Amino acid sequence: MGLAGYIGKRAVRLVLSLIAVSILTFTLLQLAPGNFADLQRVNSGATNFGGVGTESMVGELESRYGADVPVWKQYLIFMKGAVVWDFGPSYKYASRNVQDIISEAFPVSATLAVLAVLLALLIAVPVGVFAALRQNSKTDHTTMFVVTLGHALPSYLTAAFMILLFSATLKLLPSGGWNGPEDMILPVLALSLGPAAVLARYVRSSMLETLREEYVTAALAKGGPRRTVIIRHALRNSLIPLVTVAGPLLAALMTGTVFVEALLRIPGLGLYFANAAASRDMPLLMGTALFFALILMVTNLVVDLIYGLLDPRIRTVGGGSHDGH
Amino acid sequence: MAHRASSVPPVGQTRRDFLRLSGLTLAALGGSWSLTGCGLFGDDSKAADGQSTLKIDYVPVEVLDPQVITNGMWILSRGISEGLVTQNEKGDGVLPAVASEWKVSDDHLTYTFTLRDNAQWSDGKPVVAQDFERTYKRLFTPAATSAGGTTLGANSYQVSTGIKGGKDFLAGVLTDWSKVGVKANGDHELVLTLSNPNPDFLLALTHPAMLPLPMDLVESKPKDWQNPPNYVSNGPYTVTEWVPNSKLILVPNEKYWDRGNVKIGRIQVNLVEPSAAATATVAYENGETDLVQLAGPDVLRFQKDANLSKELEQTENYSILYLAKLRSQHAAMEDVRVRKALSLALDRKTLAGVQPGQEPGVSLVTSRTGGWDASLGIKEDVAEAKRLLAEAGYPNGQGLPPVRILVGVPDTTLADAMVDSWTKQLGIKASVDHVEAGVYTERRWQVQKGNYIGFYYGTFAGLPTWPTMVGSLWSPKNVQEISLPSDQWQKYQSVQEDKKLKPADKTAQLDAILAGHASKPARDIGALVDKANTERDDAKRMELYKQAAKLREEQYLYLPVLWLSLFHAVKPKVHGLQLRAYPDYFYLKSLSVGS
Repeated sequence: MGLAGYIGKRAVRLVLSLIAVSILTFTLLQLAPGNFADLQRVNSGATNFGGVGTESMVGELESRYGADVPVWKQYLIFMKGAVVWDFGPSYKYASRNVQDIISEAFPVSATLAVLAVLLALLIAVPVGVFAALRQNSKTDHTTMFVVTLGHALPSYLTAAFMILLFSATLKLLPSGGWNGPEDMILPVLALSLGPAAVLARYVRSSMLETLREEYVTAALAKGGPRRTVIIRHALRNSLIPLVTVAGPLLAALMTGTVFVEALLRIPGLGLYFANAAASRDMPLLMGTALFFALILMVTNLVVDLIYGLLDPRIRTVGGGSHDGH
Repeated sequence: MAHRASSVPPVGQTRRDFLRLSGLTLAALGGSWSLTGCGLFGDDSKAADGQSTLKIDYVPVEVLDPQVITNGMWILSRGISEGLVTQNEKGDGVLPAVASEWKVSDDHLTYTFTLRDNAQWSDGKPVVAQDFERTYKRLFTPAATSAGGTTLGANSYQVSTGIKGGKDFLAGVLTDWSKVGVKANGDHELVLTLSNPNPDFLLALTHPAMLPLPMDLVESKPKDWQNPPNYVSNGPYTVTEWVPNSKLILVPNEKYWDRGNVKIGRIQVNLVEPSAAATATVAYENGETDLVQLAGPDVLRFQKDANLSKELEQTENYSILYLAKLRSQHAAMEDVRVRKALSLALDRKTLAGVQPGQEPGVSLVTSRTGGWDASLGIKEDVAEAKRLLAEAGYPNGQGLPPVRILVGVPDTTLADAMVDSWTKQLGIKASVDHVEAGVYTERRWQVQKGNYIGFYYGTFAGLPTWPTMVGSLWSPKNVQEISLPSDQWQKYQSVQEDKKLKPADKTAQLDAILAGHASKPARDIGALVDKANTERDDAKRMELYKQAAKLREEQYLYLPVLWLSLFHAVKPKVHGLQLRAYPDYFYLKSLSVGS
């Protein structure tokens, strides 16, 4: 019952947050200079071909959302549909409904995110443990220096370097596109390095903390082989906090791979999100913003629940105080 | 991860949790991998063996409707849809396409097209005259009543075609379709009637907005007709797959009337974000694409490379870079002497050297236009520019606010060079105001506050014909609008935005403002173009257009700056590329892929 109540409370908070997100996004969009029709005119060859756009272009879009309806009503119309997962057609991608765009493009972004986080974990755990076991040694410092560098390098820069290395120079991999599994290699690599660095630092500090725990000392004192003690006792327990980091990291990657997607020509949702903002495509921007907010909040909720499962001490506190950040 | 976790000996409950966790991750991973088998990369089956494949790069296509002004329309006219006529190799005349022949009446007002009887849609239905009439009706139908809002902006185009009643029908002034000059007589005859003779009319029909649509499908599936497998075309190729932001897959339209001359088995059109264009040549040199448009720095690199230079194709004089006067509360730019001084002091030769393939743009009408001569061009003269500035009350620029260039595109190289030219040659203050595209669209129509003066930065491309260069680009109406005093301009805009006005009243009020307050020369330009449009004698007509063009130059409301080239890189295995200076650049039909 306690758990159900907790989830219920979180669900209410989630709905309120989504409403706040929608109002904020909508308001900011209204405040942004320019509108869809004008931008379309400038960016799409209309001006390039001497087409002087007319008043009716703007009228057209307004009529698409109900003729001459005031802005606040547009918001209500949108939200009424959003409740039942119907965001209506995008302005820019006029033959598609926003929810169809999401269900087509999100699996692409999500796959890359999941693979990137997995790769990040595969890199981070050994590196973190390695550094922790040699705390304050030269190897520890060197490893952590490299890791910090990796963390500081934005993913689009990594992607650009990788295109230069693997495509332009070595000619091993395609420089972009989305035609087969080989096209996943560069984006996953580019997306995983930053998170790997973050996770490695967590693993290291968490491992260091665990190594100082009495039960580890006790296990070692009992004469257990050092290797077994480290893996069986220290590592396993030091990995628990990783859940709180990896979850939001996954959510962040699923929702924020804009640059890498653009650079590597991947039809993911991040690219749509960025295009929606740039072109003032209200339904698409609202739809994707709400969807991303939902993903982030659900991920946080799931992380909290998993954390509670892994570490019963948190459950007894109620979990409400812990938000995964 | 999974292996690591399960290799750990059991310690109470945590182990199960770990297994559960890793199981979840695996499930997620497995789930995602299984997606690769069912559509993560689209339902693309690779080209069958032995089929020739061409890969070309293009910008993203959001809409596959030729009546909506997006980049999608220019890929359709490359050879997915086919109109009554297509352009010839040079782009200065037309060839039969769906229409096998046509007759023009003696008064040059009525065009009677005979449609070939073997023209078919890719679903096997015949292409008939009614298809064209229904398509053009959709094009001319006013915004508010059209289904799904598809006529977005195409209306701006039809003005240059001059089909009788089209403009009024679109504005809602005329509601009786039978009075519009589009009529299908039976299945194979289409009659188009103009309000005035238009020597460019046949070329104008090659614009994507004039391509036929499968109207039965458009009406029965208003939301889904563009999406494969629904998509139906009547041109050499048809669309089998469309992943926005990724690719468009084209295969020959097996029902095409000239199927024997369609030579490529499969065309993959990579849809490349402009922001990723910096790496576009990597894909080209890595063999991922066979044809790509190049930007400035890449052009230089290709020109210098012994092998790559052979793959470089230039379309000279493709577009015109210009500056347009911004309206301002400050009066300086209202003085034609100031504007003229700024134009005379632009060192166009130096500007042209900034990037490859550029020429000094000495007039708004490009030199490609038949009958162009140097008398139309601006003669740069710094001494005269200084004299004009002084005469206008700004000796050596004293008292003149900084002159701004409002730019809404990412690259400001050329605008920076113009600022340089002014500061060096005139000693005035000038700067580039680089803003986001949305800010640009809004600011360029506003009356600028305080002492903000200057120009907005733009490019135009169009048919190199007098009616287009004078009647359509920087049209008489545009010149009149930009010549309005600030207060009248604001009044004009508020009439435009007034949603309560009836279409006919709105048009009348707007016309009245222009007639009463546009500058005299701006109105004279309009009169000259009107006269040219009805003049039957070719030599006299060109003379009238030239007079109008000259008068337009003398207003210095629009300053021509550069004539720009376009560059493509093409692999040697691609044959038959015929580049034209038109926004669709080339047709797919003439292409083939060899060894």
